[in-house]
Amino acid sequence: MAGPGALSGAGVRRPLFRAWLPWTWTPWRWIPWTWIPWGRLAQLAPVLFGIATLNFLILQLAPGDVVDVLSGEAGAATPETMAELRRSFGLDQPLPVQYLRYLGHLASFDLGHSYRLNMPVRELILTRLPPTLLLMLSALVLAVSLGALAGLLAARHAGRWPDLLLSGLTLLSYALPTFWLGLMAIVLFSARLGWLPSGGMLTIGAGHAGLAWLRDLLAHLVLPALTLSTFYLAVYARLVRSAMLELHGADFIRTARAKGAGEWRITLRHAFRNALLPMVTMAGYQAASLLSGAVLVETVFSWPGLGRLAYEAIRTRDLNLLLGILFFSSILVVIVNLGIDGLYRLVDPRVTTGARRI
Amino acid sequence: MTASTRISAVAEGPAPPLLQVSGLCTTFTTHAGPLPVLRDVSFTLARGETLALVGESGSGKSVTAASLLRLVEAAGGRITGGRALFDGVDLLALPPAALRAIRGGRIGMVFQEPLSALNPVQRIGAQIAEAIRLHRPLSRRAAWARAVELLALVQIPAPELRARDYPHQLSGGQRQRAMIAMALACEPELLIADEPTTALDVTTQAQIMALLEDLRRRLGMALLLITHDLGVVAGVADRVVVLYAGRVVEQGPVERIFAAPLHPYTRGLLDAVRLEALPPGSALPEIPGLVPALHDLPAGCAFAPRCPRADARCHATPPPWREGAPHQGAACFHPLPAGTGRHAA
Amino acid sequence: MSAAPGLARRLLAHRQGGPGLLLLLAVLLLALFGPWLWPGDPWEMAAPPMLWPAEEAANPLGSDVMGRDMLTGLVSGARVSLLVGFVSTLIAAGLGILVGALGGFHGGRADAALMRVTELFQTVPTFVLAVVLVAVFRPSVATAVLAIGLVSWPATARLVRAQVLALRGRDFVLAAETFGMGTARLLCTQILPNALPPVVAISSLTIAHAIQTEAALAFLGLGDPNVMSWGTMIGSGREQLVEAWYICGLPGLALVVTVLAFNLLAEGLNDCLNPHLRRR
Repeated sequence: MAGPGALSGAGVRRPLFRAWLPWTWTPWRWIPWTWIPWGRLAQLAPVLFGIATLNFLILQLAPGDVVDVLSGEAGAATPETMAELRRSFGLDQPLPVQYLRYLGHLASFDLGHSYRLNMPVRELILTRLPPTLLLMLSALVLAVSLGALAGLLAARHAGRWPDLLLSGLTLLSYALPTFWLGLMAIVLFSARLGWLPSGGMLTIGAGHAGLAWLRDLLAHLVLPALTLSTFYLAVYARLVRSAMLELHGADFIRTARAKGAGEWRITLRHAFRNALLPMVTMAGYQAASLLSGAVLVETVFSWPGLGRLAYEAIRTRDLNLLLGILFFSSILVVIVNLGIDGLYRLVDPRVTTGARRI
Repeated sequence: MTASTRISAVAEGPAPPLLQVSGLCTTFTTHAGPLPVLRDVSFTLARGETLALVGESGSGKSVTAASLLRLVEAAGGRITGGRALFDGVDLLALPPAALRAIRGGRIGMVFQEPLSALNPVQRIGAQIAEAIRLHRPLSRRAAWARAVELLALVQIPAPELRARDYPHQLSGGQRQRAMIAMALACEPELLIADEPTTALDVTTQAQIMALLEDLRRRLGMALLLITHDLGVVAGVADRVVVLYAGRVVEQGPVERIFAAPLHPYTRGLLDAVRLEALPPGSALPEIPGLVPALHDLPAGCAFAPRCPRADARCHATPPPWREGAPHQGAACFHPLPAGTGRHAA
Repeated sequence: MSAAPGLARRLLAHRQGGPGLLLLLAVLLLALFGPWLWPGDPWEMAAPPMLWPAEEAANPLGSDVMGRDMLTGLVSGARVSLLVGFVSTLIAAGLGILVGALGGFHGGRADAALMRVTELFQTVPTFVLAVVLVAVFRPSVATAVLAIGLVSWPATARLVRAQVLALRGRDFVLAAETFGMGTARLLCTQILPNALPPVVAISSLTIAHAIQTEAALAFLGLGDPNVMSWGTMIGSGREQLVEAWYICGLPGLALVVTVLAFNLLAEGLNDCLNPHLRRR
């Protein structure tokens, strides 16, 4: 249909296609142009540039350089060989040159070499990325769904015991250190009760396939994901509770009631749908902190992701790898933020469809 | 003597009234203690009739409307007394499921501010279709088609496109039309319109009122119009109920109220809108003083502190209901003599 | 300030601030008088290894896998946690106030640039940044304090900026400006004193977060090798987690209590320092 203003500006920008397409096959209309956060994409460059600069600064301020580390490892090294090494790494160049070279490397996504593991940092990170994404996503899903449920219950029973219980648990979970919570969960659920495995991602040597593999993975995922989600769960529960209470007196809720909708329908269809908005906003703010939490949780549960890689890098003082992880995880946060932006456009029609006043 | 006599006085028609409210009392719980917002409100509404409920802000008009569908209960209010017989059934005593069947089914309601009264994240069509499907066993598709028809009925151009819009995409007038379409979804016998034009600009106000009046006539509904705008009342209402500080102070046929008000308060309201009748250069008439605070009401007539005719008795005892003319009555010790209403215009 | 006793009284009466203040007092007393009550070196192997709490009177909270007394370790940890928490928050608050005040006061380009930097620090996963900083500059209490301070300021900066922006156009500020008051004096005498109350409240949260971050760093092996902190204890108890969970459990509990105290205090401060919310 080509009603006036029925679609976004995408159609308007491409009148040429109209001319030579004989029928109304308009694939570009199916691309959600307006969902793509162009503004945010444009903001990406300075952020990446900033992170790269920060990395370079840290490298420069660090006592000693790669060559010191390498020669310290190899034992006695003559000053000549060290100077030779420095030249080969370009460390004898003036700072601005080094800086530009560094930026150039990052721009081509060359994060350097891990001299401990003797592998390019990029490869190391990319192989460890999927488990981290799985962990973060599961934790986020758990936090959002359980948090929303808890918040709904608390709002429906505001001031009574479910609400008070929730506010007590919220306070507590704000104070629980993630890594300690993980350790205690291992003590209880895997050592004492023996319900769940205490670490790793898959049972080593079990060679499961298909459903058994999935079940094994999920069993390993439960504790880390729950541990990581606890804090955010509390945040969402509190958020949903206050959003629901605020919406309780909203005019459109009264309208729904006047239409004859029942209380549950009002709560879920009308109030909760609107309470989702602040939740999505909050998820955007928390991307960075979720990644920080993942580092600790992965360390505790030997989850083979980026965080575990960072822990290994700390133990072996592999600075190149650590800096690579910092750079990459920052990019990851930016990407997650972009995704959340898109999600927000999905749940709040007011962002994409500008007001049309007649 | 109050409630029963009043009802018999105004409802002597052959058919029983569609809505018969008697002795309605609503109290809000606040930090400062209970707040009696409605005190003994009584009126009747016949089938197909338009009744205007007028008064200043804070007089309890909107609370009366919300009390009828018991919407006050979710807003911290409590109905503490009275009855509201709708076609013989007391709305105030209905079990929840039966009440929900009436809400949006046999009684539709239109609110003041259409932008906030519509769900911001739901399409207009979906909101209307929901109102239909809550009461009629229609498929999604059929309900949507009906929603589009309703949008056409309220004279929204390109209804099938507007049905796919979200509230923020419509203009103020279109939003209110959509709101009316939603209230009409199940062809109610009674439409309650709570200040339906207050949030709109003047030209749109007239259009919306004309639409409401037209629909009422075509669908044979009764209309309970809540407004502070007496100009609106004159055009559409059959009868008028004047509220002051949670009490009915006067009611009667619209032409009587305008031509020969009994209560000094009604007179004050009329003077405040009748600017065209003023001799040039005279001061704007207004009712001196303020609406009394509901938690601190005077012992006698609530209007006495602002009333030019008040005497010691008015301040001491609440005035009883009196018939001043056929079908017209007021709660006043000193009603205005007939013929002091409308100046020759 | 003369308002201090009044504030303390209001805090004590507050539903969350009262318990928070009392818990904090308990931790403070432990840190101050602990070394005097239970003297000794937390690193000294003074008992048989892996004594459970209440097993021996000399080691009321037991001993760890190396036979080090748990209670002595907890006392040392309290001192480290509070020290790191306070000092790093001081750094963070200083940075945050500086950035926020300058940005909010001057606006325009300076503000945009400062906000870009703030956003950058909010995009980088702060804990990973702290890990990198501490790892690069060798773990010690000083590097931990600096690293945590350096990653914790953005929230304060945003808050101060918002406050300064709001106060910038107020009459008393404009009046002072027309008297010819300079930027620095205007900020220090007119704007900041009015902008500070919420900063105090958020600083309590920053302390709580700093304490958690320090513990996490020490847990990952990035603690000062010469200082016994709660995170170090938890990290060293991991190997015996199943047989002797109290080695990880007790310092963790201490952490929870301390962080809870500061969180509660933040709630209390927020309510008691906010003049608009003050109870009638």
